Amino acid sequence: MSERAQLQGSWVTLEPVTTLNWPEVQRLDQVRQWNPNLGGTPTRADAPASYGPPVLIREHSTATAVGILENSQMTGYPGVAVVLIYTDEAAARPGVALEAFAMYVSSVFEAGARLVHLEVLEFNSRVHRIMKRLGLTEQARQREQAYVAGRFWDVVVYAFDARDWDRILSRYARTLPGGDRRPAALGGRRRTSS
Amino acid sequence: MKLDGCSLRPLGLEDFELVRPVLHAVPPALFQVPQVEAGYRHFLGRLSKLPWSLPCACFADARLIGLCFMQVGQLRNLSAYLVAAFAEADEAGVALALYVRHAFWTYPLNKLYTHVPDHPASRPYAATLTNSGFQQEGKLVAHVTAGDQAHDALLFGLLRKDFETWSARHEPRLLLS
Repeated sequence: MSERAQLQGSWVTLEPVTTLNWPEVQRLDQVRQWNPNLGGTPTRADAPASYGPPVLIREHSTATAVGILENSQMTGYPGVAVVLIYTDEAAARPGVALEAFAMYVSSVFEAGARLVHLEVLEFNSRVHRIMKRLGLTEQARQREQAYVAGRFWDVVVYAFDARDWDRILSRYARTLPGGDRRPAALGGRRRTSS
Repeated sequence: MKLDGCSLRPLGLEDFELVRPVLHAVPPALFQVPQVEAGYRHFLGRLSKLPWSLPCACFADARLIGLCFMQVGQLRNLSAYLVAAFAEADEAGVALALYVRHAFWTYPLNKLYTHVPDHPASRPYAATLTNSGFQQEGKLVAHVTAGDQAHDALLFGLLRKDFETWSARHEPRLLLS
């Protein structure tokens, strides 16, 4: 993804965070602060990132901003991109996060990342189920690594390279937007009303 | 702080000549500090301004054997990344335990953690960590690059309660409580 280009999907558009959509980013961040999660909002509207800018996830059906995706190079590990996703579950349809995540990860690899590295709080069973279905196994479980919502939690690490990602995309191509199956959230049983 | 001939003292800007042999001896795959004086002074000057970095020189029988410091990502997590650079991993055990105790005693940290490349040159360091109570928490596959090759990075973590258990069993003089 070029520095300020949008990524257009079937259900969502990924908009680089700019001063224009900054109020929506801040609104999402306020929601995020009341929910247990890792990460935080980009530090400023034009914050640079190693493998493409942070983006706002805008759902087409409602034109609403429903989440944020961002990346940074992992400290001490050149070529390793840490990707963070936050979606407001009250606002986002099932599957929206998956499409946004898939587009963003592809763009991170296109921007030169060698590996994508994900850190997931232990209680986030929805994301762990997605990782399992994608065929990813946990590489590490960092005990009591993060203080979130009143206590310490383990942080589980997943990582994959571009070849793994191609394999995952090809396996789920029919389920992803543009495929011939009804959209569904990987890891969940809910289906969208299309 | 002293224990069985090992001691710690704050690492200073004037210590470059003292630490240079150690910096040369540490495998570059494990840790790299600028090896010219200006770079060292800049590095330490910046490090010392960061919260809870606690840079220390480690001695055995008055001989400098290593240096340790910490890097904290988010203070709220009360966890710090430990950099422990010793010329000889085999002689680092007591000094490392002393530094860990000093870190937990000085700050309300819940955890120390560190990464070690899964590489023959760094395996003695991994062994020193586990001998000091650190537990391996997994490995980051192919995260480390050296030339054209990719290596795994081993993750080690030590909770405050782990250290208390380790101290009670191995070195009660280091107990915090």
